[in-house]
Amino acid sequence: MKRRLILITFLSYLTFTVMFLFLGIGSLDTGIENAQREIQRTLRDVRSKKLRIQLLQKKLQEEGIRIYNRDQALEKLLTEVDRLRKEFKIEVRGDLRSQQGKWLMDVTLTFRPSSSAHLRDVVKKFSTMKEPIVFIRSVAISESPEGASSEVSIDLTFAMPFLERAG
Amino acid sequence: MGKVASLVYSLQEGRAVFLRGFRRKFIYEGSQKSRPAIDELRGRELYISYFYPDLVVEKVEVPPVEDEETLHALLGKRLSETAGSQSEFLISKREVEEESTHEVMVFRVFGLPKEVYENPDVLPEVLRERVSIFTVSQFSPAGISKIVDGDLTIFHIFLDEERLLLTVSRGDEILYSRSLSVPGYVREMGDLSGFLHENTNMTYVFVAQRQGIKPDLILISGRAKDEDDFIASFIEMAGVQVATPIPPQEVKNLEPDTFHDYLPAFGTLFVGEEYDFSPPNVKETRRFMKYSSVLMPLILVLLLLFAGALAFRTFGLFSRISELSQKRDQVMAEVKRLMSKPVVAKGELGYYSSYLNDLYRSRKENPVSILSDAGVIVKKFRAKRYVLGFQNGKIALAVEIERSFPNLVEMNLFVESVKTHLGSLKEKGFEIRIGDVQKDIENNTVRMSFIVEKRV
Repeated sequence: MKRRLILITFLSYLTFTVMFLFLGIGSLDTGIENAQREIQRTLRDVRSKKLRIQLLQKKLQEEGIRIYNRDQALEKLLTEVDRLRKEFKIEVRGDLRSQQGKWLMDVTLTFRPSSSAHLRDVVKKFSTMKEPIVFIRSVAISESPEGASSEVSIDLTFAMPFLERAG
Repeated sequence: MGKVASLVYSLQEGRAVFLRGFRRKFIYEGSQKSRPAIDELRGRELYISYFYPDLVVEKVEVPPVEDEETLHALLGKRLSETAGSQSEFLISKREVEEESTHEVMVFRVFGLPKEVYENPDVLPEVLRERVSIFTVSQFSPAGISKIVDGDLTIFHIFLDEERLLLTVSRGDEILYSRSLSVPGYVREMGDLSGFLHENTNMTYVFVAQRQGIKPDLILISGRAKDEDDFIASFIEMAGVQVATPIPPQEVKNLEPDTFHDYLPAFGTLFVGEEYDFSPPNVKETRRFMKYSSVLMPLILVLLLLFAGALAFRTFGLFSRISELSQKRDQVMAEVKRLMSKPVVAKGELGYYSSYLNDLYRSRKENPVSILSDAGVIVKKFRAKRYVLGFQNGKIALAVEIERSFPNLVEMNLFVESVKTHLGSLKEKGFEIRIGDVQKDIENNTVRMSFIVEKRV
């Protein structure tokens, strides 16, 4: 009887151990499934990042964007403004400032276009500038009282990004 | 089907039958007219019928007791008192229901002195836990009587060379029993008939008249069935139907002669558990062995099932782990490929992203872009002032017109034409806000202002 009791106890213990292992493996299985999903998601992320980087590369090539440091960017901005000063009457509104990795300058240009084509060319020039980037805030065209060429006033914000290297 | 042995013996002689069986269905395998050695009984479930004519039988009254153990002890004590014996008894009991009341329970108690059971010559210790039933020989014929007809009160007479057994029973209940050893001189003189005649008639009269038990059927078995004179005279005396049992269906492969030679051994197989004299602890052990013999295969089956399932799951787990490691390698390879030819150096990504975002925003928010759709207004209607701007996510064109006309008709036509153009722009999704339209009809002059907006 004692021997059988020991045997039954041992077998029961073994059965329960195997049962718990079986159930334990079930939860491990769930863990693996989650890990698998996580890896799958990471793989997707990696691929999508790869695509985004490829896209960025393409855009960078298209736009021909270069890297400027803080000083180079300021120099570039001031050079551009100086160049425009020869062509237009420029009034600087507010201060030259540096904000979130770019130099910013608000200006107002005033000129009298010789023709509508001239006006178009000027607007196009500002619309397509990349170094610095030009935000056209407003364009006001007023008819002159004498009926001569109109007066055009353009409010612009020049933004010249720069790369601040750590250290 | 397990191996079974049923033994009927006294200290001097013994008989045994060997069978295979399960749940009271047996196949007869063999028999011997001697008590088998312990080795011969190895691996067999044992049914033992011990020849003990001095069994104490008493009717005992006890107050109602719920607990079986207490009842057992109480009955044992009362039996000792009633029998006037110092011996401790192993008892088997049966409640006499027709005599029991709410206040008192009446039991027919059979007592076997404990020292008989504990005598190793009677029952070696090594066999005790393997015994399914340990009863006395005078109960054994009742097992066969029950099979013949469980509803009748049967007076069973069995005789062989060693013993005469007289048992009155109804179904599982033994009403009266008596056993006598055949004296040596009877065997020597071969006068079994006289011995049978004398003792049976006397017992029958005692049972019928003193005990008030009226048998419905007389069963005559063993050597007694061959005693024709005795049977004839007994029928005449008792006036009750007489029959000879035949081998029961519960035991296959059994010849009638063998059945009659070993009838008590076969009967023991069918005697009720309440006539087992084994001590309570032995019965408990036996019960444990019985349940454990069911439990163990069950546990084993469960163990095998779980082990199989575990193995299956573990296999699945390993394949999933290998799949996982393949995917991890894939991710690592992709990352490595990406890192091997960096398009943008670390730290430059933010610069480029911000640069491109600003560039695209400057294009998107460029108020001049409204002219691609609304430029017709500028071309067609010469205005005093145009203002293009961006505010609150919208690009807008504000126009102020001040014009003179040669006549009123042209002036009105102009105003209507402006409104028509503005209407068509509205249909294209532009928002139009028209200010005051001032018409000086004396000088044919019109002043008007409006704003064309588009959300970007």
